[in-house]
Formats: sequence, structure tokens, C-alpha cells
Amino acid sequence: MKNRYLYTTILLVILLSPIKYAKSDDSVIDFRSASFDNKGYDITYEIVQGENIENMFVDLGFDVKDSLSGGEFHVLLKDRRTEIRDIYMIESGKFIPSYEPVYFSECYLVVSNPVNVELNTSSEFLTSFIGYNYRPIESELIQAEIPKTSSFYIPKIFTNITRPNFASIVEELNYFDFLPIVLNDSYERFESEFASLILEPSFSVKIYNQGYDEFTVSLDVDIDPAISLRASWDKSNGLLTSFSLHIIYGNKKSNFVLSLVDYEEIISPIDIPIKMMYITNSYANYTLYQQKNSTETKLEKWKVFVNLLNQTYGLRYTIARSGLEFDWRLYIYDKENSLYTQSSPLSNSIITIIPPALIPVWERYSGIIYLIDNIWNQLQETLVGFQFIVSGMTQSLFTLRDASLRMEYFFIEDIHHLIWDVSYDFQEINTLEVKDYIKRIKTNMTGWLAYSNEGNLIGFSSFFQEHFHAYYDPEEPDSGNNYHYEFYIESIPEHTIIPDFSEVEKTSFTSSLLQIVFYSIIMIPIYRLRRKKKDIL
Amino acid sequence: MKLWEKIWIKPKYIAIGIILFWLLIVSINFTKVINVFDYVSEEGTNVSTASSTESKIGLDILSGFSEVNSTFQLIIHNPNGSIITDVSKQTITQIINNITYNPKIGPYLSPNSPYSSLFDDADDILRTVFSLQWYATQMAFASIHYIWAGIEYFNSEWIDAYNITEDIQQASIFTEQITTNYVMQLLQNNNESRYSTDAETFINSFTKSFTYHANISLPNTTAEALNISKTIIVSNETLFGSFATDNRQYELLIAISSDFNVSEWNNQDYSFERITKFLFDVNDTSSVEFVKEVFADGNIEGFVRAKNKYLLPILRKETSVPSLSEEIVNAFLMQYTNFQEDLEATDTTIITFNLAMDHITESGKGAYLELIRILPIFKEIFSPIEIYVTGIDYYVIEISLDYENQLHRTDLIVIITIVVILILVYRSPILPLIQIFVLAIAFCVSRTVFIGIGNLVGGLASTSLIILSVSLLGATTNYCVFLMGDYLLNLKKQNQKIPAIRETLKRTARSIMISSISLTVGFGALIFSGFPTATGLGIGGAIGFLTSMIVSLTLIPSILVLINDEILTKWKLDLKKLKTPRLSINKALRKAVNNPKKILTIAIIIAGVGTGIFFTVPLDYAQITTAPSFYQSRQGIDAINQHMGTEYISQIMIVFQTPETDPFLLENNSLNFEHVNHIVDIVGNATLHANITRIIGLSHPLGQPYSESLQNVSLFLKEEICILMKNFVMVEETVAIVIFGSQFNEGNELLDEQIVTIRESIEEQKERKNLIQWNTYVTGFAPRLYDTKTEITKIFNLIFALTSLAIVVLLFIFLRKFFMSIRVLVTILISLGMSLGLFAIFSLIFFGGFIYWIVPLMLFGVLTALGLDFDVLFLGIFIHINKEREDPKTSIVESVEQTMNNISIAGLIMAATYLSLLFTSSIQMQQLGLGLGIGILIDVFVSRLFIVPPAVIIAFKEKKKTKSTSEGESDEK
Repeated sequence: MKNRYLYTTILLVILLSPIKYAKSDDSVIDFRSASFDNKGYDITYEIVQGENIENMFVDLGFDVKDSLSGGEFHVLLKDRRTEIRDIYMIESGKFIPSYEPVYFSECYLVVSNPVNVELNTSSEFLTSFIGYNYRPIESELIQAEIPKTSSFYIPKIFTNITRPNFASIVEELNYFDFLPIVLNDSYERFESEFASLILEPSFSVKIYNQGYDEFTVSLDVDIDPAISLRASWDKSNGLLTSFSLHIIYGNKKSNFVLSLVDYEEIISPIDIPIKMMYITNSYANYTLYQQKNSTETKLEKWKVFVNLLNQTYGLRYTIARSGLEFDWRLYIYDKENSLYTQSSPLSNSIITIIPPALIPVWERYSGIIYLIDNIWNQLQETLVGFQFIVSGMTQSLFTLRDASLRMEYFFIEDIHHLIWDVSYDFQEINTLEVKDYIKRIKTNMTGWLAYSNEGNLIGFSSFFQEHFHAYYDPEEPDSGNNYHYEFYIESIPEHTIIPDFSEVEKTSFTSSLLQIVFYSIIMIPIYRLRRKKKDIL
Repeated sequence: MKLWEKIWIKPKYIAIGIILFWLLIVSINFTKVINVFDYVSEEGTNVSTASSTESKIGLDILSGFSEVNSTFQLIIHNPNGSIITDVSKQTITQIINNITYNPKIGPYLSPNSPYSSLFDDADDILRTVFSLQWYATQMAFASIHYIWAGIEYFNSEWIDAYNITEDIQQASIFTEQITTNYVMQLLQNNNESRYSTDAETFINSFTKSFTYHANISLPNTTAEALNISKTIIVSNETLFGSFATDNRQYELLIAISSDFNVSEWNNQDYSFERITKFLFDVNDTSSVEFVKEVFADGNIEGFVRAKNKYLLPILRKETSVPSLSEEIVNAFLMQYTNFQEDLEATDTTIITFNLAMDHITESGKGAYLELIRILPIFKEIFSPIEIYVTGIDYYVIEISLDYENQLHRTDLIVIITIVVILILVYRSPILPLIQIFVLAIAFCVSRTVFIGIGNLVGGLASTSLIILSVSLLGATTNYCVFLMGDYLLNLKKQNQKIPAIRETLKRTARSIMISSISLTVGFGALIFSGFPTATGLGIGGAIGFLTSMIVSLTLIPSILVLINDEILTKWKLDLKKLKTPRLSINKALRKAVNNPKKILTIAIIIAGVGTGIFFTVPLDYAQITTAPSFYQSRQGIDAINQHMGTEYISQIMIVFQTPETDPFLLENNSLNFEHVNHIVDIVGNATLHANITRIIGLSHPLGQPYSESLQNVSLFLKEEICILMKNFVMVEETVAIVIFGSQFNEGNELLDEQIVTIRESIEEQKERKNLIQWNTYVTGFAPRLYDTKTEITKIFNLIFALTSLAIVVLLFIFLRKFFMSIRVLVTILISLGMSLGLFAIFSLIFFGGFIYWIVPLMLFGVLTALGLDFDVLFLGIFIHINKEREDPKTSIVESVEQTMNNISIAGLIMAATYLSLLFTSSIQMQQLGLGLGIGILIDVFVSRLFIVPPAVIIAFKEKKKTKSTSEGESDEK
């Protein structure tokens, strides 16, 4: 018996080792020619230094305390296409259109240590982000701790062209948009172009090219703030291997240094460009307290629509491309006309944004959900009761009266589940009309989403409720426009169990036995002494 | 008092409680204590003490912008010939690649200049110079196109237009339009569109002038029109001023417009000839060909190709290009290699790597450790090329690694020594065990406290840890021996365990507390000093003394309560031999007590002589040159010395910083030559006064090549020098550097003198030239060391004064006896002086005539601690006895007899412990061991026996005289 185990093990080792060897041999990928047909690439960088990041945002009222060092930065390369782009030619000093390979990518960051974020509710960052002349009633400082292992998207750091974008560096000083993640191989050309930047009096450039396995550029720009950048690309595969950014404002410095750790292939989850979901249950319902045509039509449409879905082949997603860079459209079956339609009231509902497939990098999703849930728990108290004014032609005072959010991520039997429970209670008072117009909206939504390990949608469920109440006269709130609306839709395959929120344990009991003994020894004499004193008294 | 009585109702429970308490504290934190080195933040700050000296500020300015926080140097030596060959270049690139691509080093290199090496910096300079040349050539061609091609076209078109319209204004408007179109097309065809705005402005202004002139005298032929045009261009210089953005373009336009054959504008060869003349003021064929080659018909990659082709030939001086004078090449070679005159003999080069982190940060330390790991591999791979490495931070890491190794090795020796001595002295196996147990507990507790405080303040230095160990070992051994010795004595008298313990505590606890608190406060005061070393001493000392007092006073009585007293006495071996020599000691002691003044005078004289000897021996400030020869950093320095010369190590860097409003660059980005001349004068003066023979490299703005070539060079060369200086000399527009290479070695006093002279000379010159608003910093390797030295002396004096004062004040508060407190200090100083003298003699004979700077510091700490402990305890017992006897002389002899055993044992143990450091291989550790060993032996066997008793007698007499009424009050309790 024992021998058999031994033989099996030896056999396995023999069988597996050449495979492993072959795999590692094969993993040298030239990104400039690699195939993106049914796959993409996950490129992992380590954040070697991420110190004093807050200095980058300090004037915006947005602060990132703590260091990002040790975190991971991921780039998902999804596709490469050739597009016509205007390229700045340094010798003639103008843009010339030419065909260039362009990469489609998305980036996300995983933090390794808790990071504290501070945001002033009246900050420039927020006002410009929200727009509409947003102004909070009370300026508050929102503080939140981003827990470790949580992940979030980074909008854009690298340019998607395969050549350094000189226009942005010379003319706009946009230091993010000029760096390609994959550099094509005209290194001499780039060297000359970079070298010529030295003629700008505030630039200082160093280039390492000939004799080096990597093409490295380091650039110091002596403006306010002073910026120093360094980037290296591997000549054999064109990939950015390290990147550092240092911004100096007087005595303050922000450092951000990335270093390549590894890259791997990700197989696309899509094999057929059409994905159909069978609706197992659905209904919609509404109550209208005050007759108003527009509202009634709107609600009627919704209700009819959801009823239509009931017991049909309902949803159909059409996926525009295979590979990782896919686009989808949601079609819904109209039984009466027996056709699939894209223009339906449901197009505004949450179901439309459920992707039929996901790039299967699950740590990212679990990290984001973990982040949202955690941040929400910290911010709930600050946000409930938060008031702000949005002004334009008229002026509205918004009050968030109540809000709650719960999200959880599970991985059970090779299926990734996400469940959520969101509700909010919102009041809007429009003060600049002749009379005050008061609007109050309460919504509540619970839902579930499940994906296979490869990234394909398995099932979903969503229940939505809305109480709407709008009136002019606070004395007669019943005379306004009132309705209640709810809908429910789900697609649950057989034998699939929807997980429930796990109970949160409030106490963390981590003391070791030694510590217990230790504290007992200190506490018992004190306790006795007290008792003795009591006895005496 | 009530509490005190309560304790003794059920002493066993309390004792068990106390022992368990300490055991638990230790066991909870045991893993931390084992890995205490993980919690030490600043390895070897002892070498980088200088906090805000001139050299430090200067270095900070330099590192501020470039993010260089530490550097290490790679020395590459080719034993088989020149280093400036293709093969060597490849090898050097490979070595550099191996370091920059190393995942533990590469990411931490300074982002803007990760390293500077012969070939890479030459490459950089060439690229800069050639790209500048490329641009100048392009600008010249474009100017020729829009000026001369434009004018030729304009003239013929204008005549035609006038002949048709017969209206000057009309003709001009029409011709301006078509000329602009023509020139734009021409520029575009030649890839010169970047000058189209200039061209447009030019044609517009030109047309206006032409119309004006045509109104005065109407041209009839193209030739006449051309004449008018020429007059306009040559005379009207303001024409170009309207669009020429910088001086360089303006002068180039003037040059092109004043001397050019119009009909030849389309002749490439003619144009290149003219351009070469403009740029370099030469017109030989090879120079023209060179300009052609770099421009490569407007192909921007041309100059990169030319750079790759000419790099080695230029460095080897086989080719000369007009844009680089021979002096610049020479200055460059001298900065990076040992080039003198013969290129074949140039076989060594230095590569400087700049790290963005220093060894204090975790990643920085990791980078240096990795470097230490890979260096032997490099040496093997790249043989026969010899590779060495050096640098202050590298050295600090080496030294701290060495210390760590040494400490691990000596632990065992120390324990064995302690056990053997204790067994020999007590002749009982149990007592040493108790002592070691207490020592171990105190050791762990103190380190826990150390880590705790370290976490609070963000890390403590390794110097504090060493001092902590030293002070803890000393104090705990002392207290143990006092307590146990006294207990045995009392046990003999009383024959009962508990009363004996109580008596012991009564007799000694107060003294122990007084001395320990005095020491804690005395050393603790240094925490606020602001100097890293002093702070380290303060923290280490304070933690050490306080924890050993608390642990000893609680743990030892508890153990004694629990242990059957018979065990302690039963196992005693009977060895009476040691008793005999003590009789003669007694005799000598009596003599000493009878002649206190005489003895004291002799002691003070000996101490004075000892201190004198000590001051004649130079201190070793942990320089790399005195490090053991197996250190890589030491080998590196030796290699520089041997292959390149002292000038490359003993570098004195002068940083000139002008006020922001008056920088080195003028508004049009050209150099402020007035400032440059000031620096030339200041530097010239300093070199003369300080007898500096060599100013190294391109990194100074004003070596030979510049000052000479600045006078009568062509426009382009002047501009080129400006750009070179901007990129390679000036850190910022307000900061410039000059580097002197001194002919004197590190540690040589003449070098220190040079530094002082340079500083003085610069200040004097600044005043004379009225440049007081300029900041100058004399910095670099040698000045940094010099400043550290002066700093350390200052710290030492400060520690000395502060601690002494604090102790005297505290003793006065506790004892209420002024003369006694002064007396205690004086006797401590006497034994310090004697020990220093003796140690100095030893180091002169055995350690090459240098004293490691930390030894006197430690010696002072330990001797103060020990002296105070012994003294206060001794005093307590003396007063105790004197109360009964009323005769100070006999009571002092008796108290010496009573305490002699305990104190001698404690002294012997400690001396042996420190002397065991002699078995280590590090000369600094050996010095530390020997110094402390000698100090303790002198303190115990000379000072305590023959100096303290007479001193006490004198002080006691003085006290009696001064004191009249308030008697005995403070002696109570």
C-alpha cells in the first residue's frame, strides 16, 4: 500500500516537472506581438515606495495618510489594436497622423496596509467632482480607513499608445499620460527624442539604451512642483519594468515607485458571443395615491415590462467581442411582438449593468466589495444627516435622512457570490420656486449575483422598492404626488443556494493564555485587597 | 511603615507572586527579546552623529533635489591594461546592469541619477552636446531657408507684381502672401515647421521695411531689389529681435544675415560650411563632415548614431570633435579615472551609485546587505577585472554585522566566566545560579522596556542597546552581590532567615535606591541633549539602571525567602587560602587612612598624569581606513589609494548657494559670468592658502578648460559650456559645486588644517567681495569626518559635565551632605583618570596608537555607575558602623573589611566579562573590553581600597566641622 503511494508520487513528480518547466520557458511573452484573441494579461507590480502621497492632493482637500508601500498594482492588458493617432514629431514640431498599436487596459490597486483617507466635504476635489454648484451645509472632515487587502480602480496612469507621448510632456506637462505600459522597439528614435528635451531649460534627461537590456529614461522637470520620473522598459518584451515618480513641493515630497513582479495570461471567459438567462421568477407592483398621468404611465410601463419577463427566456446579452475587451448589450424578449428589444424602461434599472461575463481576477472584486463594506461602516454615521445644496436655475437642499449598505462576497463550491442590501431615505427641498417643493424618496434594494470561476454569469436576483412622495404644501402633505413601486426579478439555476449575510462578531478575543494568567495575577490581589477593605468597613 | 510590616506576615506568598510576575513578563515578550535587533532602528548612528554642522547642511542641499541619501562607490581596476576599451566598457555595463536590475537594489537607487560612471556620463555629455549641435544646425538651415530663399523669391515676385499692378503697396501685400506660402512649403519639406511662426513674423516685418524703402527708391530689377533687401537685413538688427526667443537664436540670425551668398542657399555643402563656421569658428573639411554626420539630413536619430560611434574614440583621444575641447575631455577623464597623461596606464575607474534611501531605512539596509552578498559573486564572474566597493553607509552596515556576530559569539564566554568566578568565590553552586537567573530576568525585562520605548518614539539606536547591556550587566551584578553578600553576613549573625533578609534590606535597599535613581536621572538627563549619541547613552543608561534596581530589589529577596538558607551554606567548600593576602591589604589600608591628604594628593597626581597621557593618544572615529582589513569597504578605500590616489578619497566639496533673486543663470538662461568669476577668485584663493594641488573634474564650473575657453570662443561653444554647466555642474540654478582633491589621507591632521583654512579663506573672500548673502558650505567625505570629530568632542564634554552635575545635585538632595557629594564625584574622576591613562598606554603598545572614541565614553558611564554604587553602599555601612563605634578611622577599616568580599566579587565578575571581549576579532570590540576591564579593576582594587577611605575620612571631618545642630537626622531610616 505504502509503496503504491510512493510510486504514484514519483510518477506525478516526473509527469509534472517537465510541464512546469515547459510552462516557465514559454512564459516569455513579447507583448508587442502576443496574441489577444481569447486571452489577456495580468501584470503585477509591487509598490516599492508609496510615501507621502497626501502631498499630491493637499490643495484639493483630499488626503491620503499612511504609505502605500508594499501594495500591489495590477494592470490588465485586455487588447491591442492598431489605430490612427496624431503623433508629435519633435524635429518638425507638429503632429503627424500615423498608425500605432494601442492597448486597452484597466488598472487596480491592492493595499497591503491600512491607509487613512481624509476628505473635506467642502473641498475643491468634491465640488468639481460632483458639479452642479454643489455646496455642503456644514463643512465636515470625513475620515475613513481603507482596510488592508482591499482593492480599488485607478482611472488612468499610463497612456495606451506604445510610444512616449511627447505632446503631453512638452505642451501639457501631463506626467501620467505620457508613459506607455508597452513600448515598441524604436529605441534609437525615442532616445533621440528624449535627448532633445534637454534643450528645454527646466528639463534634465538621462537615457540608458545602448548596451542595456532595458531602455531607461529618467527625467527631472524643474517646475513648480518639481517632478522627477524614471521608467524602464524591458527590450525583449517591451513591458514597463519599473516606474518611479517623485513630486517635490518646497520641502514636501511624494514618492511613488513601482517595480514589476510578474505577469500571467488570463483566459477570456467568453466562448459564445450570446448569453441567455432564464428568468425563474419575477413580478412588479405599484400603488398610486395621487393620480397623475406621467407618473402613471411610467409605473405602468415598468410593471407591464416586468410582468412580460415572467416565465420567458427574458434576458439576452449580446457580447460584442471575444477576448477580454468585451462590450455587451442587453436585449429583452417582448412576447407580444415576439422580438428582442433594447429600448425598454428596464434599461434604466440595475439589471442592465449586470455584465454577463467578468474578467476572472477575483481578488479584485472581493477586494472592492470588502473596501465598500468597510468604508461604509466607517462613514455611515457621518453621512446620515448630511445636507448639501445644489444650485443652478433653482436651488435645492438635499438631506440624506437615512442610509444603509451591506455587501458581502462569498466563494462557495467554485461559485463567486455577491449579496447586497442597500437602502436610502432622501429629501430634497427646492427653495427657489414660488412655494417650497418637497420631494422625499425612500428606496430599498436587496440582491444577489453569482459568477462561475471562469467569469460567466450564473444567476442573479434583485428586489427593489421605492416610496416616492412630493408635495408643495407642508401643511397638506397628502395632496402631493405619491406612489409606491416595487419589483422583483430573479434567475436562479437549480441546486443553487443563495448565501446569507454572515453574522458579524463584535468581540475579538485574541488574548493568549499567558496573558490571561498574567492579568489574573495582577488582578486577584487587587480584588482581594478591595474585598478586605470592604470587610473591614 | 505599615505596608512594610504587612509584607512580612506572609512573605512566601508575596515572594511567589513576585517571581511569577517577572517570569510571565519575560515569557510573554521572549520572542521579541530574542529578536531585539529587529527593533533597533538606526544602526551605527555613532558614525553619523553630525546633526547640523556645515558639512551636513551642504550635503543636505545636494541631496535635497536629487534624492540622494547615501552613496557607495565601485572601484573597477583592470590589471591587464587600460580601462578605456570596448571590452572594459562592456564589462562595466554588465556590472552596472547587475546592480541596477537587482530587485533589492535597483528600485531604491535615486530616480534622477541612479549612478555616475565614466562611460554613462560621457554618453550623457556627448548626447547633450550633439543634440544641441543638431538643433543649432536645424535652426541655421531653417533661418537660411526663410531669410535667403525667402528674399530671393520675394525679390523676383515683387518686381513681377509691381510691373503688373504698378502699385508698391499692392505689390507688397501680394508678394508677402505668396512668399509666406512658398517659405512655409519649403520649411515643411525640410521638416522645419517648428520655425514657421518665426518665418511668418520675419517676412511680415521684412515686407514692411521693403515697402518703406521701395517708396524712397523704386527698384526696377531683381538685382536692385536684392540690394535693398540686403541693406534692410544687415542694417536693421531689430528685425530679428521681435521673434528670436533666446540669445543663441538671435546671434545666429545676425551671423547668417550678415555674411551669406544668396544664390548659394540651395547648396548643401556651402550651407554646411557656413554653419560650421558659425558654430565652431572653424572651416576645415573634417569638422564640416562632422557637422553633416550629426545632423544626418535632419534625421533626429543622427546624433545618437554619431554619439555611439565617437564615444570611445573621443575618450581615447583618437578623434577630436570641434564641440569638445581637449581640456574638457581631460578634465572628464581625471574625474572618473586615474588618468594622468598616459591613456594606457589609465586602468582604474570609480562608479558612484546613488541610493534614494540610507542604511537607516529597512529597504536601504536590505540593499546594502544584498550588495554585501553579491559582491563576492561579481568578483568571481568578472575576474580578472578587480572590483572593490566602499562608502560610509556600506561600512556602517559591515560594522554592525560584525558587531552582531561578535556579540553572539561572546555570550557563551561571558556566561561561563561569570559562573566560574562565582563558584570560585562563593564556593557554593546555588548562589551563582541565583545571580545568573536574576541577571537573565533583568536582561529580558530591560530589553522589553527598550523595545516598548523604541516603539513609542519610533526606534532606538544600536548604541543605546550596547550601553543598555553594559550598564545593566554592571548594575545588576553589583546589586546581586551586595544583597546576597550582606544576607550571608546577616545570616551568620542572626541565624534566622527572615530577620536576616529584613536586616539586609534595611542596610542596603536605601543605598541601592539612591545610587540607582541618581544614575537614572544623571544619565536620563542626556535624553534631552539633542545629540544622537548622547541621547542613546541617556536612554540606554536610564533603562538599564532603573530596571536592574527594580528587578534586583524585588526578585532577590523573593528568591532568598523561598530558598532554604541551609542550601546556601551547606555546599560551601572550605578554602581559606584567599584570606592570607588580605591581611597585608588591611595594613596598607590603615596606613592610607592615617595619611589621607598625602594619599589623596598622590592619587590626584597619578590621575592627572593618566589623563595627560590619554590626551596625547589620538582618537579613532570609526573611519574606514582604520577598519579591519577584511572589511570590503576598507579594501575599497585601499584600492582607491593604491590605484588612483588620495585625491579621490579626501575630497573636499564646496557648495556655493546664491540667493534666489540672484542665481547663476540669468533670465535668458545664460550663465551669470560675474558670479562665475567670483567663484574663480574664491576657489583660486582657497587653493593657494590651503595648498590644494588639484581640482577634480567637470564637476567644478571653473577649472582650466572653462576659464580659458570662455574668453574668445565661438557663440556655440559658449552656449554649449553654459548647457554643460547647467546640466552637470549646477544642482539647481542657485547651487554650484567645486571639488578639491586633497593630497593628505583621511585621519591626517594636515587634512583637518586644510579644511579649516579653506573655510576661513572662503569666508574672508566673501566678505571682501561683499557676497555675504551667499551661502557656502565646505562638505564632502573629509569635512564630514572632521565635523563629526569636533562634534563628538563637544558631545563628550557635554555628557561629562551634565552627568557629573546631575549626580552631584541628586546626591546632595538625598544625602544632604555637600562635601560628601563632591567627594564622591572627585574619587570617581580620580579612578577615571587613572584608568584612561593606563588604557592609553595599553593602546599605544597593542592597538596601533589609536583609541576607539566610544571607549572613553563607555568608561565614563561604567565607572560613574560602579563608583557611585560602591560608594553609596559603602557609605551606608560605614555610617551604620560609625554610629556604634564613634571612631571614623576604625569604623572605616571595619566597613572595608565587611564590604571587601562583595565588592571584589562584583568587580572581578564584571572585569572578566568585559575582558572576554578581547577574544573577538574586531579591534574596536577588543578596545572596549580592555578599556572597561582595566577601568573596573582599578576602581575596585585601587580606588575603593586606597582612595575612597581616606577621602571619606577627609570629607567626614569637613562635614563635622561645618555641621553643628542638624545632626544625624538624615542618617535615620
